[in-house]
Amino acid sequence: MSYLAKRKFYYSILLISVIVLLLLGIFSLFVGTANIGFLDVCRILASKLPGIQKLVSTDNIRGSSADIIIKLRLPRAVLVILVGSGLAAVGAAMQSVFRNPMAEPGILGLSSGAGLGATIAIVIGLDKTVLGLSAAAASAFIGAIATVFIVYNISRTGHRISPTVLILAGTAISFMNSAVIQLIMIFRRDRMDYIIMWTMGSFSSPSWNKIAVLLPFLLPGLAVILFHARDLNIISTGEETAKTLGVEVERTKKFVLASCSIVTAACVATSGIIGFVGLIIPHLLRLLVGTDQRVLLPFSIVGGAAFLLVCDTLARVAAPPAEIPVGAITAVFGSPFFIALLIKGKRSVM
Amino acid sequence: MEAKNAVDVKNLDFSYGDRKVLEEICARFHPGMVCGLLGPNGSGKTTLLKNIAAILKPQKNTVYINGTDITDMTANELAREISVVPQNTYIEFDFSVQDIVMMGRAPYIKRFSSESEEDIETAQWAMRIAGIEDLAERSIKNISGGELQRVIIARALAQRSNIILLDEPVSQLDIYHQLSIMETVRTLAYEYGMTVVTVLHDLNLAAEFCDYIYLLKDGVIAYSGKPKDVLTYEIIEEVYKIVCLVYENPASKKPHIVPVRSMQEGNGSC
Repeated sequence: MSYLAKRKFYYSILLISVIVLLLLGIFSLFVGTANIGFLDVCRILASKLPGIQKLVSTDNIRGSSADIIIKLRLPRAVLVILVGSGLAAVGAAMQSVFRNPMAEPGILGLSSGAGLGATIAIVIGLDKTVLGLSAAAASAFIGAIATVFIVYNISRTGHRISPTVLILAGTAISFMNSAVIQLIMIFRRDRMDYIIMWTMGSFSSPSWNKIAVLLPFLLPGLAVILFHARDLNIISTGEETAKTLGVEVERTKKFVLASCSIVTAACVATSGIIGFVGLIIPHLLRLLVGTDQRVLLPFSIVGGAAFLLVCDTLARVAAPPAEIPVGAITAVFGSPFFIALLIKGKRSVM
Repeated sequence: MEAKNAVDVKNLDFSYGDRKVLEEICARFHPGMVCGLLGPNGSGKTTLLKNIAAILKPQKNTVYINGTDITDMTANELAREISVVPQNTYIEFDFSVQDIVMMGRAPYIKRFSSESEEDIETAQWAMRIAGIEDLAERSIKNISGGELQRVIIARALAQRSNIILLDEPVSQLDIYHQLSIMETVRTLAYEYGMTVVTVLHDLNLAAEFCDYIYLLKDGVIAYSGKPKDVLTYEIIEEVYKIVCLVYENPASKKPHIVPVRSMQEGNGSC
C-alpha cells in the first residue's frame, strides 16, 4: 500500500472503531443489577432524542428504569468514555515527549498530587460541593496541578526543560506525596477507608455535573495534543534533531505537557486514580496501527474509551451487589493481554 | 555581496556556563566543497557545528547564511536552508524508513495537511541518492547501523536544503560503509552543489574526502587549509600530541597518516 493510502485505510478503520465504541456504550447501559431489557434501553434513549422522541412510546416502562438509565448508567458510561479517552491520549503524547515507552499520565506526579489533595480534603472534613463536585475532587485537581507546577519548576533551566529531570522529579515527588498520604492515614485511621476508596479510582458516583466540569478541561486539552501530533512524531526521534527539522521544540513540549497535565488532573479529580489505561492502551495500539501520532492519538482516544468502558462494566456486574474498583479490573484483564502481545511482538522480531 | 549558500562564521564565541568552548571562530564554508572540522576530543568541533545549525543558540551577528543572521530566522526557515546528520541516532519507536525520511519534509508541510505528491517524490529521490530505496517499508528497528545512517542522510536530503552539516557521520561504521557513505557525501557537494560541512575523527578519511580543513584546538581554529597543508606531521604532533608518520597515498596523492604512539608523559617526546 502506498504511504498515503495506508493512512487513509487506518482512518476508515478508526471510523469503524468509533461505531463499535458507540455500540459498546449502548450495550453497557443494558448491563447491570437492575434488569432492564435491551429494547427498553433503546426506547428510553430514543425518547430523549429530539426529533424522534414523539415516535417512541415509553408508556409501559417503569419510571425507575428510565431514571436508572438517564441519571445513572448513561452519565456513567459517558464519564468512563471521556476519562478513558483522556488518559490514553495523554499516555500516547507523553511517551513521545519523553521518548520513553514507560511514560504514562501519572509520571509527573499528577496522580499522587491528586491523591494528596483528595486526602487532605477528606481528613479535614470539607463537605462543600464546588461546581457540583465534591470538595475532595476539587482539592484533588488543585493537588495535581500544584504538584506538576513544582515538578516543572525543578526541571526548568532558563526556558528549557529536561525530560530526564522531569521524570526523576516527578517520581521523587510522587513518592513524597504517597508517603504523606500514608502518614495521614496512620494518624486518621477513621478516614482510611474513604481515602483508600478514593485513591483506587471508581465511577460509582456518576453525574451529569461531573461531565460538565470535565469537558471544558478535556476537550481543549485533547485538541492541543492532536494539534501537535506531527511535531510529537519528530520530537520522539530526538529533541536536537527535531529542532533541525523546524520544530519549535521547547514551545511544543510546554503546550503538550500543560495540556496533558490539565487533562489528567481533570480525569483523576472526577474519577480517582485509574492506572494502566494511559500506559497500556497507547502501547497496545502502537503494536496494531504503528507509531505515527496522527494515527495513534485518535486510535488511543477511541481505544482508551472502549477499554475502560468494558472494564467498568465488568466492575459493575462481576460481583453484585458489590462493585470492584475499576483500577483492579484494568490491571487484571489488561496485563495478561498486554504480556501476550509483547511476547508475540518479540517473536516477530526474532 | 555574499556568495549563495555560503555559511559565514564571524568572531563566534561560545560558552557552556562559565566554560569557554569556542573563541573567536572565523570560518567560511562554500558550496560545492566538502569542508572538514577536525580536532582532538573536546576541541569544540561539535559545538561549532551545533552553533551553525542553531541547535545551540549562537550570539547575534556571528553565523550567517547567504548574508542573513541565523538568529533572525525561525526554526522552519532554518530547516529549509540547513539539514543536520547527528552523531548518534537512536530512535525508540518503531517508525518505518519512509516515515523517518518523510520527516525531512516537515518544514514544508502545513499543519493538518497531508504530504503532497511532491513531498512523496522528494522523499523517494532522497532515498535513491542515499541508496536505501529498497528499505522504504522496513522498520528502522530492523536495519543495520550503516543503513540507519543512510536513512538519516536521506532525511537530511529530503529537506532540500543547500547546506548539510554532518557530525562524525561514519565513526561507528565498518570500513565499507565509511567509504561508501563518504562517497555519497562527496557527491552532494560535487554533483548537487551543496555546502557540506562534516566533523570527522579519522584523519585519513578527512585527507581523502575534504577539500578544505579547519583544525580546532582548545576552542580556536589552530590551522586551516587544504589537507596537504594542514595534515603535516608537525601540525598533527602539535595538535593531537601524537608521534606520527605522514606519507603520500599512492592512489589518491593525498596525505596518509600513520600514527606511531602518543606523547604521553613517560613515553618521552621525540
